[in-house]
Amino acid sequence: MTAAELINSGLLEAYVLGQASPDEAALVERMRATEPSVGQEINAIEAALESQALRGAVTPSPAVKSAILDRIAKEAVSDTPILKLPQGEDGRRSNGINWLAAASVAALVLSAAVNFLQYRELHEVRGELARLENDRSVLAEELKVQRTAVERADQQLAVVLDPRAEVVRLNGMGAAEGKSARIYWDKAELAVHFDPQAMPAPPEGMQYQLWALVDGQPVDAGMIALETGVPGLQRMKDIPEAQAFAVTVEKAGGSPTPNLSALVLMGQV
Amino acid sequence: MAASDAYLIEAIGRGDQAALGKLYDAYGAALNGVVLRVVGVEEMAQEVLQDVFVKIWRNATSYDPSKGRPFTWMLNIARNTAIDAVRRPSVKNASLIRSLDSTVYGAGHDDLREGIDVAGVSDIVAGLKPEHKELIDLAYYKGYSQQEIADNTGLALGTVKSRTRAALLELRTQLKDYR
Repeated sequence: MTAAELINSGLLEAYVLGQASPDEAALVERMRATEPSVGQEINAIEAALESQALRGAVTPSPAVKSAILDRIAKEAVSDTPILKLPQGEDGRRSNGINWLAAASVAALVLSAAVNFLQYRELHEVRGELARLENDRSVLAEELKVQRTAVERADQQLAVVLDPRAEVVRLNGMGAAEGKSARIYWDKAELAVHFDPQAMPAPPEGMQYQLWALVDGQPVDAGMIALETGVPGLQRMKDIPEAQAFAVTVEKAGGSPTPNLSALVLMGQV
Repeated sequence: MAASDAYLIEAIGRGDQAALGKLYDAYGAALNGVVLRVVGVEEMAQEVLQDVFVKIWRNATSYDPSKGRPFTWMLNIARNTAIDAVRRPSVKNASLIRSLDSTVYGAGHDDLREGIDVAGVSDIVAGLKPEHKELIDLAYYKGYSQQEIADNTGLALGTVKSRTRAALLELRTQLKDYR
């Protein structure tokens, strides 16, 4: 295609109007680079359209300009300068907007750093909180155990200090010579508390049994539980009247009548 | 003029808001005229004109002086934005699209003139031969491609191209006389 053919084809007009296809536009640009007449013709078409537009000008309302400037001012703060920041290859670009952009970026970075530190701190605080919660529940459990122990001690102390309680001392007999135990007996309440003190554990399959001697007859007063490691008073069966108390070794679960040959403790009221 | 325009666009590309203000002062009215001729409604034209200048602001760095004058670049942004606004399917624009379609199908008749009169734009193409006036309006102000004009008028594509060419030549002659 010669320059004249291109000029007469109508393609240059389409090109100026932005209506040429990419292939057509490439053709026009190729021809323009080598043919001055093509460039002149394009320029003439552009000039004609420009003159026409200027003659057809219609002044818009003054509000339009301020609306446009408002919109671009917002964009200038938000995205445009940040995108342009890396392009600052010449010193002239250090204008107010870029300072603002730099300040924005710095603020963003700083804010991210603060966020990170706060996040890490939060993480640590949460870990600490979990540990404290764990400690707290351990302490609460311990307190419960202690409180039970104290209540038990209080109850025992109340028995021991009860002014109505009669104390009966039981002394070791035979093999148990030298051992002793004690009974706190509140006759008004009929309550008998047995204090095993330092009694040795009974033989395997055997248990200590307490007897009350009432008018020469032994009356079952209950089995003695010697739970290892748990010292303290044990509430026995209620006994209204007795002249003496005795402890024998019986088979586990107890006997209806005492095996007097296995008498270990004896005490007179 | 073109050199200082190119300088303004370069300044806009660097984020110079005052440069955009100057460009608006120089060409806002001309571009408004173009937009108004496309959309036909003054309020809508002023909305579109805002979008046009925001696009100029955003895309200033993509302007390539080797491809054409700054004004041609702005003009095509204005035309395309206005045409997009008119073609956008919405209740507000429905009537405009209808008149646009009838313009194409019954090209060169009264409704085309009517649209221009409504716009209140001085009809500078009025002195052209009717077939040339029609082509310039369809191609330039209504945004139809030469192929679309050919399809809708029943003219051969080659005829559309040669008539567009002849129309612009006639326009140039008139503008020379006008100067």
